[in-house]
Amino acid sequence: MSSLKIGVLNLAYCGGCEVAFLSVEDVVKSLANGDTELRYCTIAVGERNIPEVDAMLVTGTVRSTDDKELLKEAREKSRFIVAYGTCACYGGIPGLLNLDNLKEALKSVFGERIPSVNKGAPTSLLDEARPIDAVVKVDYMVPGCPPPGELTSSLIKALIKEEPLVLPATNVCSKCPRNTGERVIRVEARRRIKSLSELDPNKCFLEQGILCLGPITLGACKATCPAKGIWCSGCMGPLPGRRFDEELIDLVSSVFSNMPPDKLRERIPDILKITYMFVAPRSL
Amino acid sequence: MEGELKMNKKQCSGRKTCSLRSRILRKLITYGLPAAPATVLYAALTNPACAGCPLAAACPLRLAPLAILYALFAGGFRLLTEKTGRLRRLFRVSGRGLSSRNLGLAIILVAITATATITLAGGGPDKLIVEPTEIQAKVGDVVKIHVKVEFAHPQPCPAAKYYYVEVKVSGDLEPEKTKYTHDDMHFVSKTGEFDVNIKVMGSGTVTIIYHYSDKCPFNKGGIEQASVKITAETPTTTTTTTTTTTATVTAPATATATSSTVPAGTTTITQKTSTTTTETTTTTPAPVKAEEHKISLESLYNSRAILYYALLVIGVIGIPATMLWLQTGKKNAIRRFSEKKSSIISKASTGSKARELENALVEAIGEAASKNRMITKLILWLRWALVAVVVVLLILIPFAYVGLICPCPMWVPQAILLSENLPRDLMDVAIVVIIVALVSTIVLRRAWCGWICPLGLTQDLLAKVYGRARITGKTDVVLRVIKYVFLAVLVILVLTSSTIWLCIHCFISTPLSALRYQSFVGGALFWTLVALGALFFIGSMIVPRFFCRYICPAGALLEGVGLLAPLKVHKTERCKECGECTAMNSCPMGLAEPGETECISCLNCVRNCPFKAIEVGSFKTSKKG
Repeated sequence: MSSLKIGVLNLAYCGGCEVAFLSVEDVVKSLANGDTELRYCTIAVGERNIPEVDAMLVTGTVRSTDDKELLKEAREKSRFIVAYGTCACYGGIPGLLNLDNLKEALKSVFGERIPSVNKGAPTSLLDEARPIDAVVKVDYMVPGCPPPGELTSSLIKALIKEEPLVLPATNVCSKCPRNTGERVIRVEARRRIKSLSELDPNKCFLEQGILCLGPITLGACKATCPAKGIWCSGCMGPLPGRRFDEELIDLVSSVFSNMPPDKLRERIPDILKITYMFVAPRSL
Repeated sequence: MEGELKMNKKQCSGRKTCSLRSRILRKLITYGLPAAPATVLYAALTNPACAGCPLAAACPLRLAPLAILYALFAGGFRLLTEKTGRLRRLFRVSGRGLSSRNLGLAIILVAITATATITLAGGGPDKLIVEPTEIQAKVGDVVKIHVKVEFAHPQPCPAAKYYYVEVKVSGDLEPEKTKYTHDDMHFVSKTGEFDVNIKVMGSGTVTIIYHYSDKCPFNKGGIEQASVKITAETPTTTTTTTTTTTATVTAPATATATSSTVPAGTTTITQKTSTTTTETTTTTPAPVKAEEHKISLESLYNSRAILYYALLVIGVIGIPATMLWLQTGKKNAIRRFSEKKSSIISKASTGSKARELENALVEAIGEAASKNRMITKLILWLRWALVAVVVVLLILIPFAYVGLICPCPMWVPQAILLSENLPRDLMDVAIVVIIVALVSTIVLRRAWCGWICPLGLTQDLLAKVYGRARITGKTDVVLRVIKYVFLAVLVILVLTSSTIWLCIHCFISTPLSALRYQSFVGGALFWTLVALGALFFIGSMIVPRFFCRYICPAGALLEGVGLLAPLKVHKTERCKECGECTAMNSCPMGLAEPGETECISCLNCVRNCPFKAIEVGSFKTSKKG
């Protein structure tokens, strides 16, 4: 049995997914025993051009024309394209810029001296960041920021057997240790939290008036964040087959049902960017 | 539930949804077949007194016991099949009802049925109309009094031989005849008319009394009466003033059927002036002081049947309709946000999209939140509004006029089957109770139990004492069967031995019986019943709706009838599985999932659900089939 040739392609990204992929135990094991073979990876392999591979794990968003061309080339040279990480699946953090004007944003960062990205340079920024399936056909989707190790292991297994990868259809709450089954989400979350130290470590965040996106987020992460005391910001993206807008409005309108819009704006400043942090290019 | 889902797939193989026709057919086969032997049995054992009545087929009083039998067969087996799964193949139970598209159809059907039943069975008493009510005549004249009886039911009545109109006089008057029967009447549709001739010898009063038939099931032995005052004039006067007044006599149900007096205040007179010809030359209409129609406690009591039907429409059809409306409103808010979003995105990228988008999002959230609040409040308000109406209409007003009654779909059919026990004066309340209970259950599953039943309300209030205990597992299932056993015993007792069950299972009936029949107090049976009543009373304090869960045969009956209901409470795919709906023992029936068997549609779970992901609707959109 020949080994599975894997490549990791980076588009607009932070580098986390790549590192997370290589630090998964099962990946290292499979590389060691020859089940898989890493052909292309910027931080691990010296290959500079995209080779022919069985599975290409794409991390990051399509942000520039260069990204687009690389992605198209990878599609031609590989049997499977895997959208690896939330940026590739939904647009992720780089996609937040879609909500603002690109030129104004660049100006605010670089001042008047905007780097000459558009003048004769080999690459130029696209107007909008896009998830990779807006450009090419995607065979597997592994969300997460970064994708949890267990999901990566099952991805490797699925790739070897050429089976579809089944994501769990449960939300974060179903795995959350704070969900005791006897909780009552106080629909009128009037109490204002002054400092985070006031939070009860064993109570649901929603119950304490904090907008946790757990109920509408895919629970493949096994609720790591809420268990450690951080509310869910929705990095795994929505559940399969659900519309994010609908779910979000459902959630916020229920938890803060007694709050007029002005108060809501005051309570959660920048609510749009907080809630759409990881899914803006896909859902907006 | 899993088994149901599989079976549905098998039945509708290759199609996503079944057609309406196949669904109705399946329902008929599923529930009609077990009901068939019940119908035969019922026809054999039915009360022969109804044999002459042309309305027998549509009579709600006859249909009610049939429904009990039906429920016994269908509902009992349903419970067994759900819990054991062995008889499932024999009595196929489908998890699907009519789709929400056919809600309108269902409402129309219910409306037609209700209207037909009301028109055919008729409510209220027969009307006696006498004109004129005051006559001035010369001594020696023969005056003519026109008497009309407007029957509440189509004529001829099967008991036509037995009703009659009696003419009583006081003063110097000589009636031609004192008793008029069916044969003397001239009929136009439902109204019988005839003239009474009276020779005037002096002033006096004619009292015309209509006696109901002894065989009349609606007002046995009751009477309606009206009086005509005749003033004799001196022969020199040539003018006679006559005023024709239509007296609509609505005799209220009196406490005892044998009572022959009608309270004077119960006669409401509507003024209508016309002329009659006696032997007068000139006729001048004289003003007659007649009582105006007033909305009083009296008229409220008289028209309580109509009010109660209105309650049915508002409460039972209004709840799901309003819920559906609010749910649609919420969906519309989300849809509008999506539209706005795409228009903002597609605009040229000048200015900040984020601010506009945020405004749209916050607006949509605000709109959805207001709908959420409305759903929450609506349920609470409707609950208390219905409680108020039930307490006033079914308990307080009858109490003021008649005495304590049981507005219970279990007590009424027993009383009807054993007709000597039926207080005739409560007949219309009885009919209304049965119709409302059955029709509301056919619209929304067991809505009677959750929304109207005063006993359920009592238990809800009692549960506030402690109401946190749980009975689970096999004990729970076995105890739940008790109510079917009670229903079976009840039916057998009533049908075979002609002994009224006396509702000994009910903790309300014991004190009521003690109040009603003084002889009932004392003795071993009485104290046993008091002990049992106390047990249920305390049980209801500890376990919410203890009586409904394990004892109440009316619940068993309605559970069976409710299988036909197109609407029920169910989870939608938006459910986040947070478990909020049934947390903290908020489900009075102690169910694990909203809309399971024995759900009483109290909508507590809908109110609790923070996402409003539990809806009232058809079975089809249910998450688990």
